[in-house]
Amino acid sequence: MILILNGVSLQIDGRPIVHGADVEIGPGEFVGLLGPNGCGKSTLLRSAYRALRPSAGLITVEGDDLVRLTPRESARRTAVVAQEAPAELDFTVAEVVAMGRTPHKRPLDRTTAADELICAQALERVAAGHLRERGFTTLSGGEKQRVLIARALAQRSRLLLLDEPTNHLDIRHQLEILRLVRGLGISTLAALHDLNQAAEYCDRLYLMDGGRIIAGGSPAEVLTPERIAQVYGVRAVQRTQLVFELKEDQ
Amino acid sequence: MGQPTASRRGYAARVSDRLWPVITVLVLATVASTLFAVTIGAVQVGPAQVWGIVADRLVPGSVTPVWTPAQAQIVWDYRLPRALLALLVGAGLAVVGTVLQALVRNPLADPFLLGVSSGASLGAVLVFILGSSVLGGLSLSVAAFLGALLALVLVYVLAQRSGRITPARLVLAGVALAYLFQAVYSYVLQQAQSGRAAQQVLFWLMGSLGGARWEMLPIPTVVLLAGVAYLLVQHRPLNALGSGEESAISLGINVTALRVRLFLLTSLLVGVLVATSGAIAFVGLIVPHTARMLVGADHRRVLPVSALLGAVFLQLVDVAARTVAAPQELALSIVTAVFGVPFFLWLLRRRG
Repeated sequence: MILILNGVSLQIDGRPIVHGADVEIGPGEFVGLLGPNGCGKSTLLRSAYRALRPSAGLITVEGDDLVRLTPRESARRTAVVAQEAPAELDFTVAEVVAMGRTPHKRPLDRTTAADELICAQALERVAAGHLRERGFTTLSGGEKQRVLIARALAQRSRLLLLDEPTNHLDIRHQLEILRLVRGLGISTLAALHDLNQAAEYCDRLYLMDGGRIIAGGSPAEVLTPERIAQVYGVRAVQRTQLVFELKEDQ
Repeated sequence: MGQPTASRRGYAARVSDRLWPVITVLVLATVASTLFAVTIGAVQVGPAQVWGIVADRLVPGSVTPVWTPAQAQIVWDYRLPRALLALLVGAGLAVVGTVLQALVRNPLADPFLLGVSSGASLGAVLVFILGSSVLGGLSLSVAAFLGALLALVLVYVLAQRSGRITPARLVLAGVALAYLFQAVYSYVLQQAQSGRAAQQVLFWLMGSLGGARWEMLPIPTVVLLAGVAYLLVQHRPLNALGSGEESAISLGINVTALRVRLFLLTSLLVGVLVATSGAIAFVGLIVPHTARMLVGADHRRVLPVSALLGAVFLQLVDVAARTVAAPQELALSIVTAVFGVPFFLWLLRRRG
């Protein structure tokens, strides 16, 4: 297993947010984390990249206790695309992607040709090579997400954590991001909102409600009409209507 | 590859190619502005005479004097240390502004907005008025440093909630504390026995390099060079921090430890600078921002450019302060405000 959360409980300002969560991510798996607003998805993700320390439970990344890893080593194993974007200081795209090399560099290390190549390849991988010299703040929402994913790729980690990567994107960009992430082949845990998209793109899903993981498994196992009714308070109805897919020429 | 249009490329485009040309121009401007600053004043001294006086002092007897002893004394004892101090203070304030802006991730941050300058001023005023013996022998620099550190820690504590700070809260806390510190040192000044001493302190508080002497230069020089060297080594953590707290954590930065080190460093710098020259406004705000426009936001490039730009800027500001209302000298903050306020308003509107 790449990432294991074992009975993880989390508090913010002494207020319990997540209770005894168990999550496992295997090599190359794309796993979705679902649940209504305020259910604790983001909080749970934050614990997996050390922004929040569990009040109980154990987190292991590639078999090692996360607490015992140095921040640098942890960042070499886990890359994050958070909701907060590096907007205020007018970094260029190239500078944002280059930040991904931070955990691989000691203070006096120079940026090498190898680093430059890794960053260039990461940008190409997300089809954003042409944005290199643009200011990050001038990008559209979809472009920003792709650049942040490129930064995560430049980190060369084996685990990727995404916090609602499709937020505020139109339908085509949502699908592009999901297809891109799925095609990376990196173990991924992504907090997602759209149930249909999660079911279509993820290998496995976890469903959270009120700070607890109430179901985990294949999309068909997790997203039953009864459970959706219980968690979201909506009825799941099967109808024939338009579904949206990326066109093959894109 | 699609060619982005000029308007969408933004000013950050291709900035990485500009570093060395920009640094070359700034180094030349530093030398030229310093030479200019030394020649100008009530007693005219030509550039050739300045070079001669400096060469003669460094290697006595190497140049045939084409100047009067009075000119030599004015250049060597007064104008040169003052010009060098202007470079140090300008560079230092610009570097502090650059670091604070990354630290709080807000281009509006500067030593004034965060109350740091006022804290340092309070420390300095207490030593000035009460005398160092009352404060247990604290020197002006140490008192200014402690005041700056106290201000930064208080601002940070007030602005954070469970370890996270928002820029808005930070600026509000900084402005509020700045007023508090100003009130305290104004009270001390008002209660001072000698009205004349109080007036001198008030003038000095607004920024003045008038007291520059050679023996004032070593400490700021060492602190500034060591500080910039450390910050350059830390350019990647600084970039990561500038991209946001969570983002920095996910890049493997120990954010808490880095913040503490940066707080200490900026407090030390502000303390030393305020102790030598009073509190000079706006340099720490305008200069880093201009540096980023020139060479992008990467701190490996911003820090040296910001330092040089700050040095040149304050040199010219000091020349203006000495000449505009000669023989009276203007406080430096009056001159920087003339440039700073329009710039600040432009920045506010641009980000609106």
